Amino acid sequence: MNKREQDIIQKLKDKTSDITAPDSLKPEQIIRTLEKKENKKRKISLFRIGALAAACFVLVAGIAVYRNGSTGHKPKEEKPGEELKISSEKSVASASDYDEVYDYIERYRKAIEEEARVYEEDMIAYEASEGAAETKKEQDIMESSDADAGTTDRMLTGGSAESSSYSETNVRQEGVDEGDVVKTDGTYLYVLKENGRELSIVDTRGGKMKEVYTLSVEENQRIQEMYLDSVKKRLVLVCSINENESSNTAKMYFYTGSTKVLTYDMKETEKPKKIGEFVQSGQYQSSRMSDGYLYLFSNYSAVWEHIKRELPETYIPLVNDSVIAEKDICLPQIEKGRDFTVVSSIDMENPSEAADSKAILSQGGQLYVSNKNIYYYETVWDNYLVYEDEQTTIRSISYEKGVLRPGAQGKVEGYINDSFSIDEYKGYLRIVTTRKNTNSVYVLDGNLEIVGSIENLAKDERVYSARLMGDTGYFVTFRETDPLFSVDLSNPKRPEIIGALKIPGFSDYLHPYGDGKLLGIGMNVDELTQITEGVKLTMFDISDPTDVKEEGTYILKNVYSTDVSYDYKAALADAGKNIIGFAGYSDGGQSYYVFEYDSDNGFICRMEEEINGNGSSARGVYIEQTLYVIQGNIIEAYSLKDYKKVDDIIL
Amino acid sequence: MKCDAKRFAQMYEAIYTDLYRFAFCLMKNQQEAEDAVSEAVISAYENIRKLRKEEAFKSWMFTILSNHCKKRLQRAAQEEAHLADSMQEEPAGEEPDQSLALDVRNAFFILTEEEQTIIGLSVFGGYNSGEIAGIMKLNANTVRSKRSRALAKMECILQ
Repeated sequence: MNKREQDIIQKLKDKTSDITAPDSLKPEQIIRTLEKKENKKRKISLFRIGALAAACFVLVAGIAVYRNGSTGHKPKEEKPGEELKISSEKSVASASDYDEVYDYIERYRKAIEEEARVYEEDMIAYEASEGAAETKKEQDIMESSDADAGTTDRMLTGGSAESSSYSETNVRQEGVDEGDVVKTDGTYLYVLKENGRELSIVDTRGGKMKEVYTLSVEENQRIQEMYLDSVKKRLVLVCSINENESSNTAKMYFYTGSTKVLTYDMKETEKPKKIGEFVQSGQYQSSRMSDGYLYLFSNYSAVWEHIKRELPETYIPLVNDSVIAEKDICLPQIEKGRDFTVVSSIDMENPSEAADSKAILSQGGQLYVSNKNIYYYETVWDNYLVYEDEQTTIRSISYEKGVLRPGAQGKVEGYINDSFSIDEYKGYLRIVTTRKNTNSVYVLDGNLEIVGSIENLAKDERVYSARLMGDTGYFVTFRETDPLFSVDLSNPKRPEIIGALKIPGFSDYLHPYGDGKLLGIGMNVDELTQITEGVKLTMFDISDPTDVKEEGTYILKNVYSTDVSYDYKAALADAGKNIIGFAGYSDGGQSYYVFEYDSDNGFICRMEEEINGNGSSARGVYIEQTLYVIQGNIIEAYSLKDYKKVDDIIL
Repeated sequence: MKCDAKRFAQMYEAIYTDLYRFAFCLMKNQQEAEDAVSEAVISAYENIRKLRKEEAFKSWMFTILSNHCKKRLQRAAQEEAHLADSMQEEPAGEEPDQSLALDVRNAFFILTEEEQTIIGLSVFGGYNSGEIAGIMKLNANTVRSKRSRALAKMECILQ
C-alpha cells in the first residue's frame, strides 16, 4: 500500500473512531445472551455437526461440476487444487463473438454464486478455524509490492547510458519509460500537486525556483501520473475520471470509472497547448512509454446488475466510446473471468486516437513490460480450499510502434512476488516464484514453454526481491536470515544456483550499483527476537557471482520503513553520480536520506532532512548539482556539494 | 478450543467496537449493524469448539461477521428490487442517535459489496492484503488491486 492509500485508511479510522457499540453488544450483555443459549447448546451442536458434513460434500461436488463441466462424481479424496483446469492452448485466444465473452463472465458469476451458496455458516466457521491461523502467517508476507512493479534495469552500470546531468524516473526496464508524479527535463520540474488536479511547472534556472505555469484538469479528474516526451515535446497526463461522483444514488451502481489521457504540446514550456484527449473504460492500472507511443493499461469490471447478453456495451470495455471488437478480446487460460485489463497504444503524433487496443479478460493480474513484449500474469488458485498451491498463468502481447499482437501463453508453478521476479533476456523469460513452502526458478522460451528450471529452493522461505541481470540473476528469500542467491542463467536449459550468501535481515529492493556491485534496501531483523530494527542498506560485491560478499552495511536504527520497499519509483540510485536517496519514516516523521558509497569507507550518510510536504510519496530529483526533495506542494532544494539547503518553494 | 460464555466475552471485549464499526460501515444503519453483530456472535459461540487457536479469534469473528453482513445486504437488495420506488429513500425508522459521517457513508456507498468488505477489513480489522485474501478466499494480488481501486474511489469523496 502506498502512503496515499495508508492516509485514506487512516482517515477512515479517524472518522469512525467516535462510533461506539450499542449497549446490547457490550460484553456484559453478550454473556447473558450466550448463557441463555447455553442450555440449548448441546442439542444444536449435534444438529450442526450433521449440517457440517453435508455442507462439505456439497462444496466438493460443486467445485467438480463447474471445473469439469460434467456432473462430477469426483472421488472425494482428490485434491481440488490439482483439478484446476488451465487451457493447454499455446497461444493467446481471441474471442470469436461477444456471446463467448458473455459466457466467461456468466461462468464467473455462477462460480461466485455457487460459492456463496455453499458458504453456510458452519462451513465458514469450520474453514476459518482450520485455516485462519496458518493462513495468516503464510500471508503476512505478501504485503509489500503493490499493483504493478518494477524499476530499472538500466543499470548494469548503475546509470543511464550517457551520464546525464539530471535524474530520471527509476523504471523497471531500461528503455521503457514509466509515468510518475514528478518529472524533470533538466531545466524545469513538473510536479503533481497535492490536490491531484493541478500540475506545476517550476523553472529551476539561476538557482532560484520559480513556478511558471499551473495546469488544471476538470473537477472530476485526478492526475495519476505524467510523462515527458522530450523528443516530440509532449507532456502527457494520465487521469482517472469519476464520472458519476455527483449523480444520483441509483446511478452510482453504474460506477466503473474510466481513464483519460491528456496530451499537451510543449514547444513553449511555459505555454502548454492541449492537442489530444483519449479515454478508455476502467480504473488506471499502469502505463509505459516507448518509441513515441504511450501504452495505457486500465482495469474494468463489468457491473453484474447491468449485464445483458444482447448489449455488449454492458460488459465489454469502451475505447473512445466504441466497444472493443471481439477479435481484440484476449480470452483467459481458465474458463471464467470478469475483469478486463484494457491496453491501448497511443501515438504521440495523434494523441486522441488509439493506434491499437486489446482487452485482456482475467480475474485480475499484473504486468511486466520488456522492450518488446507485454507479459500479463495472474495467479490462479483454488478459491475455496487449497490456496497455498498457486499457479501463475502468463500471456504475452508483443508491441512495436503501437501495434499489439497477442502471442504465446504458458504457466508456471507458484506466485510471482513482483515484476522484478520476471524478466526477458535474449528471447527467454526468466521467472522466480514461491510455491507453498519453497521457491523456484523457471526459464521459458519464446513460446512460453518451460525449458529449464530449479525447484525446491529455500524451504519455508519466500522471495522478497529479485534482480535478473543478463546471464546472472540474484534473489533474496527470507525467514530468519537473508540468503542472497546467485543463479547462473547463461544456459537457459540448465539454470544453476551458484551462490548463497546468508546475512541478517532482508532486502526488499535490489538495484545494480556500478561494476560488480548490487545495492539492497530492506530491513534489519534481530536473529534471536525476529524483531525488525530499522531500515538496512547493504552493498553486495557481486564481482564473483559464485562468491558474493556483503561488502558494506548501514542500519538506520529508528527508521521503521521506506517507500522503496513497495514503490521502486521512490528510489534514487545512480552509481555514476554516487548517490543513493530515499525517504524513510521514523517517529519524528518523514525524512529524506542521501548516501554515498565507496568500497573503503562503506556507506556514508550525507544528508538527513525532514520532508515537509503532504501527499503522495516523496521523490528526490537532481539537476546538475542540486537535489530537489519534492512531496505534495513543497519543493526543497539542497546543494549536492555541501548538502545545505539552498532554496524552497510552496506551490 | 473449549470456551464458556465468560471466556468468550473476554476475547470479544477486545474487538467488539471494531466489529460494530465494521458492520456499521457496511450496513449503514445502526439497527442492521447491531443485528449483524449479534447474529455473528451467536454463530461464533455455537461453533467455538472448531476454533483451534485463540489467536485466530479475531480474524475468525471478522470472517463470520462479514458473511452475515453479506447475506443481509443480499437479502436487502432482493427486497429493494421488489420495491424499486422506495430505493432512494433513507432507511426507515427514527433518526439514529449516532450516524456515520456523511462523506464516509457516501464513500462506502460507491463501493461494490466486495470492495466494502476489503476496505472494512483493512480499516477495522487492521489486516493486510494477504490476511484479507485468506479471510475472503481471494488471491492476495486481487485483493491489492481491488483495494487500490476502492481507495481511489473513496479518496474523491472523503473530505
